[in-house]
Amino acid sequence: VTLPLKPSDLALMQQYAQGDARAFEVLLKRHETALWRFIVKSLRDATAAEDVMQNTWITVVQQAARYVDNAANNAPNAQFRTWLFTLARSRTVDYLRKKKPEVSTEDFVDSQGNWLENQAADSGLSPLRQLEGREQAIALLQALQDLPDDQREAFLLQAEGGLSVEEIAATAQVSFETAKSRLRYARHKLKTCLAAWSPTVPRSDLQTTPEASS
Amino acid sequence: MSPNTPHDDLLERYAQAKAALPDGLPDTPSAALHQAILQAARKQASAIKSVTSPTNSVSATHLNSSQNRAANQIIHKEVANDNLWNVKAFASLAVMGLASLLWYQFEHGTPPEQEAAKSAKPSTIAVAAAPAAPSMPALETTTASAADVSATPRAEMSASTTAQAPSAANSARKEARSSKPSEVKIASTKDAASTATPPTAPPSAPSSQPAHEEERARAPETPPKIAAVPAPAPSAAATAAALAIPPPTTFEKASNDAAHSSELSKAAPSPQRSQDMARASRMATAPASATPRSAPMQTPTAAPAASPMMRSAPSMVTEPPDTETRRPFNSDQTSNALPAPIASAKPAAPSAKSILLPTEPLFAAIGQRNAAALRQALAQGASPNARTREGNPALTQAVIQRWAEGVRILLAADADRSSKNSKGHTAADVALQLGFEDMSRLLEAPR
Repeated sequence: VTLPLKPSDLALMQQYAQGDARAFEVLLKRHETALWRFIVKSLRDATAAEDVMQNTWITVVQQAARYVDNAANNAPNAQFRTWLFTLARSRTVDYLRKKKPEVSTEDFVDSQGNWLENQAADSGLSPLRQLEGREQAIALLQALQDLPDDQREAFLLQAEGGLSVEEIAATAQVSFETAKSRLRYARHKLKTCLAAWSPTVPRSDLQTTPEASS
Repeated sequence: MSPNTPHDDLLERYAQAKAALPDGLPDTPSAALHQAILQAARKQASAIKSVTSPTNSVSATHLNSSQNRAANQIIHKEVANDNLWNVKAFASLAVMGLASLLWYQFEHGTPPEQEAAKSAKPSTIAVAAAPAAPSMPALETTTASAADVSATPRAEMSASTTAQAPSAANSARKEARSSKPSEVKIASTKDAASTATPPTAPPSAPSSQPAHEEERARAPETPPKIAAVPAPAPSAAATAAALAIPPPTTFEKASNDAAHSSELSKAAPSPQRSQDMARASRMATAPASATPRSAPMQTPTAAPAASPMMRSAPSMVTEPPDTETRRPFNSDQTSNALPAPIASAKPAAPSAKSILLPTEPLFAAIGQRNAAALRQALAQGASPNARTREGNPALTQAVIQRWAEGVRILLAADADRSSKNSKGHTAADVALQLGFEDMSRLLEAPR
């Protein structure tokens, strides 16, 4: 089977549903990194992320024929990605419900402290600059962890999965406005956090409310 | 970050933060995970190929367990999608079972039930009752049914033939009403033959026909014109040979068909066939009556036993009627005709069912509490001690109907008071059980 230069996700799924394993390889390579990052950043546990990742793709394999049947009539190009992230999100949520991760930024920094110090020493940056960059990163990641789950999820879907607002809404199975609102609040909190450490963030952007900034 | 994502300062800072402060989590899935996913996908793909391939479609059962599961999902997809499959299958079985039950009840039901079932299809029964039996109270009905039968093919015949048909049928009815039974019988036969009708080829006269059936068929025959007919009529073939006319093959066909009278009763004969049969009838009767072929119908005779056409009347011509074995014909009983269902259920040429159940009219009369019909049934030879399929004697049936007159009639016909049903109860016992003391007194043994 000769694949087109860049076949759509649906075309690849259709070919796979007919038994073409090569089409699935293309699909996997196309989406696995983004999906993995979303999962692993959401769970912050590589082992759990592997389970969720494998479970998600096995579901794709098993449901390929059904997906093709359902998507044959109304298939936007991003529908497969939305479906894929929906599967991953639901499994991630299930996992988090079963085992709420107790990972704090302090723990994270402490566990990686020695390594970070070494990295800063090797970077050749001035200690002040290194400290500023480190604190910025810590502040940003801390702010991300402090976000409500739905807002963090929306931000991760955008930042790690590269999904649009429409796709986030479809993945989270909420309305477009809800997804947009979640994403706006998340971004506003993160920008507020960064503003204290970086003058690059425009003050006007930080002072406006999320509703006004949208 | 996805390449589709527009440049975003926040996302860029987030990426820098991740790079500056790695969390120790891998950025890409491990190779082992990648291979595991690919392996599962390939296995599924091979299962799909083996199932969808026409050469390997049969070998789906030989897949390993996981492949088999995947294959089954596809093989049974259509059936699995049909949520009503089980319902449909159950409904089909239920319909078949119900049909079987109805058939069983009809075949093994009591005579009254069968009469009732028959009465629901009077037209079919009228067609099946080919030759008329004058002694039957259903004379008029039978004659009319013969006319009706003749009308059935006429509808398919040419316009000229059709124009003659109603008058023939009407004349048959008029004659049946005004004439004596015997004359009506002959007239109806003549009419039937002249109109070339008998679509229901009367059943052939098999040698194995029960004697009482022949007797019953002969009973209504009345001597006047029949007795004047010379004895044995030659067979149709012999007649045809004498006339140098090849024997009509339609005779054979009709004869064969007559063996399946039930089928014939359902199928309307073609006009051509009716004409052939009429022609055959004329040929067969001509030599017997020693009259020219041009006027065969003046002779009310009939035909060779082998001729199914002739069985409508004339098979008795070859055998003079036995007046001793014939029960007297009671015109009063005829005038007191049975209700239509019973009358129509009395074919002059009895069907196989009536042969098996000669007491049908008896129990039908009891069921309807019809004294005249009961007397007639007894007069026609029905045993007063006949039993239903359930084993109830006629007396018991009359008791169950709480029909004192019927009990008296049966007792007058020498019904056995001591006959017991399948439970060992006499009619008197049943009367007592039912609280019919009057019946019980009637049934007490004479002292």
